[in-house]
Amino acid sequence: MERGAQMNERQDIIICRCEEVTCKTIENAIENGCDMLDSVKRSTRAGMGLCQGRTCQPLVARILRDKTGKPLEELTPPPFRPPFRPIRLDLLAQEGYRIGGENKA
Amino acid sequence: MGLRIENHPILGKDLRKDMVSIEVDGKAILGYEGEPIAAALIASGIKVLRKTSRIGEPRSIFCARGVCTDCVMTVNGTPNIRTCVTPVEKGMKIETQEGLGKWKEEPK
Amino acid sequence: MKTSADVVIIGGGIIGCAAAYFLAKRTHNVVLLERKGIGSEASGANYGMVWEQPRQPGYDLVMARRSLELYNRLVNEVFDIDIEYEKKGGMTVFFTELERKAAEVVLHSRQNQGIPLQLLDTSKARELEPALSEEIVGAFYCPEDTQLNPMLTTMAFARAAQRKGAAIYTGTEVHSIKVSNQSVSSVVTNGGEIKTEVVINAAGSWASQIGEMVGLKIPVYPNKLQSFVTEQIPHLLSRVIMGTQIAKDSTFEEAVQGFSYTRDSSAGELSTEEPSHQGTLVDNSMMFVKPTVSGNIVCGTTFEFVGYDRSTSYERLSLIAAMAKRAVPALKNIQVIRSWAGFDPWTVDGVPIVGETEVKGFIVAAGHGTAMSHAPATGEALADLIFDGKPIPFTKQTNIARFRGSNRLR
Repeated sequence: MERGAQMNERQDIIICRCEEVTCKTIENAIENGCDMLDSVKRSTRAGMGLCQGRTCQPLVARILRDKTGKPLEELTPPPFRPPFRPIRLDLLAQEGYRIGGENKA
Repeated sequence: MGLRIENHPILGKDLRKDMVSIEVDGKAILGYEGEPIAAALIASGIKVLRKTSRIGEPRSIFCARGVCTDCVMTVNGTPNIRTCVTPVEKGMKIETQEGLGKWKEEPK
Repeated sequence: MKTSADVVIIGGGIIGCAAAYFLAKRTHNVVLLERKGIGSEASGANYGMVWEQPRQPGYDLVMARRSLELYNRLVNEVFDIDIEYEKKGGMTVFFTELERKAAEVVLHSRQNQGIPLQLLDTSKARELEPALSEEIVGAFYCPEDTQLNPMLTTMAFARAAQRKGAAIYTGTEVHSIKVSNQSVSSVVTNGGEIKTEVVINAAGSWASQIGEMVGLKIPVYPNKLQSFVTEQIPHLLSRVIMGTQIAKDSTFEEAVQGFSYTRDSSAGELSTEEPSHQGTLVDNSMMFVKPTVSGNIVCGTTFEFVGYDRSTSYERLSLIAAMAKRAVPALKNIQVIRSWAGFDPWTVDGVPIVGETEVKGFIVAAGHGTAMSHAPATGEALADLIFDGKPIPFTKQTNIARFRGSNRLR
């Protein structure tokens, strides 16, 4: 895409690569009242994909700043939660097996 | 082999000798055992690693450091394997992942 | 921000947003205040089940039935976004003879309530849901049970309310509520003061803090539920599966009782004290496995009373993983990508607190725990109460007076 692309072409740029969420979708969500990273995420799925927002979160924050005027410091991301890397369910379940999760009833 | 760095300004010469055979979409290609799968594929001229679920867009490596998940492929029947951080093993079966991919035995 | 309103709703979860919609159909001057974002608490963290199967007689059953009817109409005629509403039926799976035998007893009492509940054997259950483990000895199945996306449903209600003229202010925290002559006169927020004579406390797990602002004790406590979500996979499950909370060493009576989550409050005074869960970690866990439209699988859960601590812990997530794998063995190779905790607003008798209080104009609608199943009917009932003076159904069961040592208002 060449520099100085038209405004409507910018709208089609994919911001959340994992969930294929375009700039336009995110801007629409903001226009409809989403004013935090968390609410944009809930409304558009940006940040819910395999990388859990690692790639798109800074971009979404900047779009929010540009559209709402809020400074970046106020646009805190959803809190980090484990697992910090995807983990196979069977591996995660090891402690659960030990305390009897497999034999609850 | 055009993209491989044969003489690196800091790491020096690439002294690896033995390549192993892996299968990509049914076709055999060569790669160094232990190097990232994505490196072997790109060195062989394979750029498209998967197609996205919604739009069917081609994806390759992006961050190349295991974070963005753009490079995921189906490896030995398991989808969503990050090829930029997963090492090549002899005999691996790798498939271009279409969308969510298919599990070897239907995750069952 | 508006400086006056006919009704101010505190809380932008499913109850508050549903109320905003039904109230906005009656008046243009409705305000909803939410301190974070729409659906950012329990309404955004639950499993989206709108089930008839587990309903308890009385308020619960009546409101859930009416809500199922209303959801049908709302999805087809009102909501402007897809809330992923699917009627796939719901299943509760059993691993032991004890659970299955207790289920036989519960089956009859539920069917007598008019609930179309079936008790399936292993092969029938696995016919419906092939990914279920062979270890399952039976399952409850109710074909009327539906599932939806709770975050999107909450937003859909908010948007519908706004289209009808409601004003929704997010990022807006209530600091105090002014009361004069035992009756509400205004709400003070971080964005200004709104004069009003009617306030609906729909603040879920924070309903008690809002109650304190008018000098009322509202015994709703945060029951912390942990969950995780997996990567997206091709189709594995069709419907939400849940387990029971019945412990291995339960008596038969305890097992039958384990299928109920409300208790009769008509006999004697109810405790309003800070609760604690009895028993082991395994005792305070219950399996949920929810397939979503996007292909992610959501798994839960454990129960804790730890105030408002939102962290998730390895031990509990591990237990959830073990329970999920037990029911759906194919999950074992699937990657878990994120965990979270939500607060289920809990009351000691399992019945929400809905209706008027000792303070004129201060209405409570909180403590649901199963709010997704109640929200549309609750919104409708609140509008009927405020505009037509129609009492909340089963007032004795739901009114806050039941906590005051007598079953009569004032």
